[in-house]
Amino acid sequence: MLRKPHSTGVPAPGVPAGFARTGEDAELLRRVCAGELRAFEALYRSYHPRLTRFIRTVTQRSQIAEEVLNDTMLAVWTKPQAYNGASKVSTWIFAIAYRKTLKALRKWDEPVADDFLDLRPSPEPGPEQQVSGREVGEGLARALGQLSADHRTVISLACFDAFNYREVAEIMACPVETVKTRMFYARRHLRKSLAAHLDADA
Amino acid sequence: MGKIIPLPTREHRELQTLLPWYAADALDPADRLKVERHLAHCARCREELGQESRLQSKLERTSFDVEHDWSSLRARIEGQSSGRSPRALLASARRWIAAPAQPAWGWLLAAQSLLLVTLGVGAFYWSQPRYHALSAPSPAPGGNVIVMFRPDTPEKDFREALRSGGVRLVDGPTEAGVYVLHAPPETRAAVIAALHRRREVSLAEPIDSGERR
Repeated sequence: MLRKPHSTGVPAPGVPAGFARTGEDAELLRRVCAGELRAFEALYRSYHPRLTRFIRTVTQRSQIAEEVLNDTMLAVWTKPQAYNGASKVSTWIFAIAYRKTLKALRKWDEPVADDFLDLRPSPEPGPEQQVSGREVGEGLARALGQLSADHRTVISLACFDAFNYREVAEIMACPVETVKTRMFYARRHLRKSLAAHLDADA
Repeated sequence: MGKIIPLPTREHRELQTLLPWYAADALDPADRLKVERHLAHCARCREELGQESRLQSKLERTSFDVEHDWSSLRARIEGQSSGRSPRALLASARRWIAAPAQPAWGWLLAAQSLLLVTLGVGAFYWSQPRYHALSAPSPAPGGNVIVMFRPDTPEKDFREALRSGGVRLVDGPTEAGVYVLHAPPETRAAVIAALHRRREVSLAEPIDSGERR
């Protein structure tokens, strides 16, 4: 199961106000503030897999993932002082990535939210699909593609990066209850779409 | 008489929304404890959790190519003319001129191979006695100066800067926005000094790329 690094939240002695958090990420970010490219590279490499998966999952366009990811990390490189220590470094970076992703989606004229997902019938895979859809990955990608970008965002942040619902709400700048509802319906949709595979594993 | 199905309690409904988070290991300790207490006496939620856990295991798979994207961003950082050291820009341009042998730069390797073939053909050509028709173009000289322009440079100024001092554009722009020029060896220092004086030029440095003499 995936695990994310957790910061302790305990201020270290002699740390500037904006960097009250401890932990490897906060330390790297502190060095990035001093213009240390090596520290930034370490931060970049540590976030690359998670951000790539997040952006690819939300946008469903692998060709723009690199651009959005690098725009995100460039913002971290150019404005590390914007981190105020109120949240974890990862929450701050993913919030930047989320905003950059939405911007990219708007450029592609992609609808971001679908608040009526729970009212729509979930497309059940037909027998043909169940037989030919041997690869679970294909089925999963198809099911994710049927969700809105906001639902995919919640799925990605919670299921891939283990952010809790309060952190997801902070990243997406929306109420906690909205996040919980999105998660509930998105998972229900995925389960329906992958029912054949999940039942086979039971 | 029909069977009475008990409606789910408020606690059950609330806990049900937390099950996907529990399966994803994305709950804080207090919420996790609440879910585990509920699971101890709710068979429906245990069954639901089984489904959620199977879905979670399906979701947790993928791999990405960090090298390619990092190379791209590093080039952008090193290419920023404002706020970062010209030494880094120069090093980047020199690496590009010399031999970019990084595995992720496939297109550069292809370009390098093409360059090697061209140089091989060129070496053979220049080793032969020369017979120039009056209309034949002279062969392109190797680069011995690199130059970068500020991003807002108008095309007119750009062309004017490149035209001065008898320089010729050999290659570029690289991904970092570097141009490679050839200046006559006897005037190279003066050309670089003149480029430095131009407002639109952010970098002008000599390079030694094995110029033919």
